[in-house]
Amino acid sequence: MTKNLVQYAGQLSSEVRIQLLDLLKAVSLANLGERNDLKRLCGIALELLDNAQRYGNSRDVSFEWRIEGQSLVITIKNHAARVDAERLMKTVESINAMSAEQVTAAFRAQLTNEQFGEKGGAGLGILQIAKRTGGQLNAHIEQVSSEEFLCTSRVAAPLR
Amino acid sequence: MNALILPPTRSTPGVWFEPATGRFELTGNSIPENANEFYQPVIEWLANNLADMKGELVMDFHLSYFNSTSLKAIYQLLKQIKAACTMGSTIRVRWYAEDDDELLIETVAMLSDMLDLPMEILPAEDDKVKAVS
Repeated sequence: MTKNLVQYAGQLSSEVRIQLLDLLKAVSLANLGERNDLKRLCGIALELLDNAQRYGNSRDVSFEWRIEGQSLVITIKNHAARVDAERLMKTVESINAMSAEQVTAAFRAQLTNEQFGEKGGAGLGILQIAKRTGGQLNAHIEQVSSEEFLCTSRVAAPLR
Repeated sequence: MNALILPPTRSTPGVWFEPATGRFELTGNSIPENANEFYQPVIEWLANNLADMKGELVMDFHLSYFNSTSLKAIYQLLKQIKAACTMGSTIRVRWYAEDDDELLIETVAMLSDMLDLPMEILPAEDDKVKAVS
C-alpha cells in the first residue's frame, strides 16, 4: 500500500477544487501529523489547481499528491491553449533562473501592480509556489493539436 | 451609511462591513477562481464609504485559506483602508491565526511591511472565545 498518495483524474470544477483541498488537508494531517507547514503544503496544491482550472481548456485534469522521502511531490496535467501553455513555460523558465531574493522581489512587484489577467489570474501563482518550495519547478508542454497543448507541472516541496 | 454584508460561500469569505457598529470582518476561505470579480465591489464599497468614517476602524481577518489571486485583492483592500488613515480615522488590522500557521504569519508580516501599516496577529482561540460570547 502506498501511503500519502492522492490521485484524481477528471473534471476540475470549483467544487472539485474545494473538496480536493479539504481532502488534502485531512490526508496531510492524518499522515504527516500536526506540523507548522501543512498550510504551506496544501497551499502549493491549491495554486496548481487554481492555474489548471483557470487556464485548462477542457477542464479535465490529472492530479497527483505523493510523499517521496522528505519531499511532497505534486504533479498536475491539463490541456491548455497555445498562448497559455507557452506562457507557463516562459514563466517557469524565468522563475527557475531567479535567486530566492529575486523571487521575493518579483512577487512583491506583481502583488502591487493591481493588474488581473482576462481569466482572473494575478500573475502570482507560480511565484507563490517558488517562494513556498524554495526549489525548482518543472513544466513540460506537449502539442496535441494545432492549438492545444498538454501541460504538465511538477513541484517538489521539501518537508521540514 | 449602508452596511455591506455578504454571506460566506465554499470559496468566498463572508463580508461584514457595518459602519454603524464598527464591525469590519472577513471570515472563512477566500479561494475563488476569480478573486477580482468578488473583491472589486467590496473595494468600491470601501472607497465610497470610508471617507465618512470617524474614530477607530477595526478590520478583522478570520481567513483559513486564501489563494494568491485573493491575496492581490486583499492587498488592494488594505491599501484602500490605509488611505482612510489619512482622512481622520485610526485603523487597527487584526488577523486571527492558529499558533502553527507559519504561512499566515509570514504573509501578514509581508503585507504590513509593504503597506507600512501595523497589523496584529491574534490567536485563533481568542477568535473562538469572541465568537461564542
